[in-house]
Amino acid sequence: MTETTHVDHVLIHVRDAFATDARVGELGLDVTHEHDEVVVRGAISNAVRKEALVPVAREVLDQYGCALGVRDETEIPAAGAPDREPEQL
Amino acid sequence: MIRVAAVGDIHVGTDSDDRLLDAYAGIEEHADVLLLAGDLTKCGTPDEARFVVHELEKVTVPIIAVLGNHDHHDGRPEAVADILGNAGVHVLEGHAAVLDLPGGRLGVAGVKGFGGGFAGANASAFGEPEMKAFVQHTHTIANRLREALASLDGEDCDARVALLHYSPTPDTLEGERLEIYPFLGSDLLAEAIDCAGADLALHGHAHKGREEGCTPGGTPVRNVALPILGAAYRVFALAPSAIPRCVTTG
Repeated sequence: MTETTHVDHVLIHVRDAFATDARVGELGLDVTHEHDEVVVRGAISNAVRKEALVPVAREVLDQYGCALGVRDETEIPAAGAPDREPEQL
Repeated sequence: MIRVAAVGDIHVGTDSDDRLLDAYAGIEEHADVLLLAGDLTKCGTPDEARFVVHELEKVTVPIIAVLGNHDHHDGRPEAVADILGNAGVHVLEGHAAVLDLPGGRLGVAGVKGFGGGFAGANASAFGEPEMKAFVQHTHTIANRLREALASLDGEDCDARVALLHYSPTPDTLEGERLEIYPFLGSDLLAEAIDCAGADLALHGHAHKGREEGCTPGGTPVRNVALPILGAAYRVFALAPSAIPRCVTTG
């Protein structure tokens, strides 16, 4: 890591890349620094975007010379037909 | 009863895997209309909009939608709306649609909405031009919502729905970080709903929020973001009602 880039700043850039990189395009993911890893949590829309998380994060980390690993703990929400009765309003 | 199915934040991209396609098969057994609360695409490209159309192919009930911030990301929301419109989706932005459904006559007023925050911590049009533009955008959209709802006054609707992407209440944002509330909605939207009248307000955008809330005037608000629902849609059964209107004083 460069002398001027604290890991907290790098995390911001990783989170920003998840929003703006078209391979992911997810706002609102949680990106934290835990021990020697960057951990990503939250909901992501499908398996293709989930697969892209680690490479996208890795590119940003490498750009800042950051040797932390990346752990993906995101989840793909269920999207089947509803199993609840209609809400009466 | 008018049966309204709703979902937001389906975030379809060219990488999508048809997982919604089958979930929408047979929707007519559960609902009379499908309302889409924005963020239909991942990045708002025309190609993604075509994939949305594909995912909706098995929907046999009328579809009404608003766009969300993701649908604006590529700078071509009109193209997205055109592609959806050509496929039969009624895309609303500052106007209303009326449908005669088996359970009654439904009016839907739709806008994207925008941010600005909520009472006690809301942004004001003060200072830099950028801040004024931010807040003015919300005022403009809230006024459009109010006018769209008011346009339903003479339509003899049995029920009225305000369809948005951004939230009109902090209630349904609980679970999100407080710091980002100003980017998730605005109480100006709730004021428009309370003053012009609606039986239900639907929104998405807040993936970590919760489903249920209401405006200060008592209109039920439901966050139908897909990650919240954990399903392809939720169904609401609306009974015909006399919609209360507030009187603005002072």
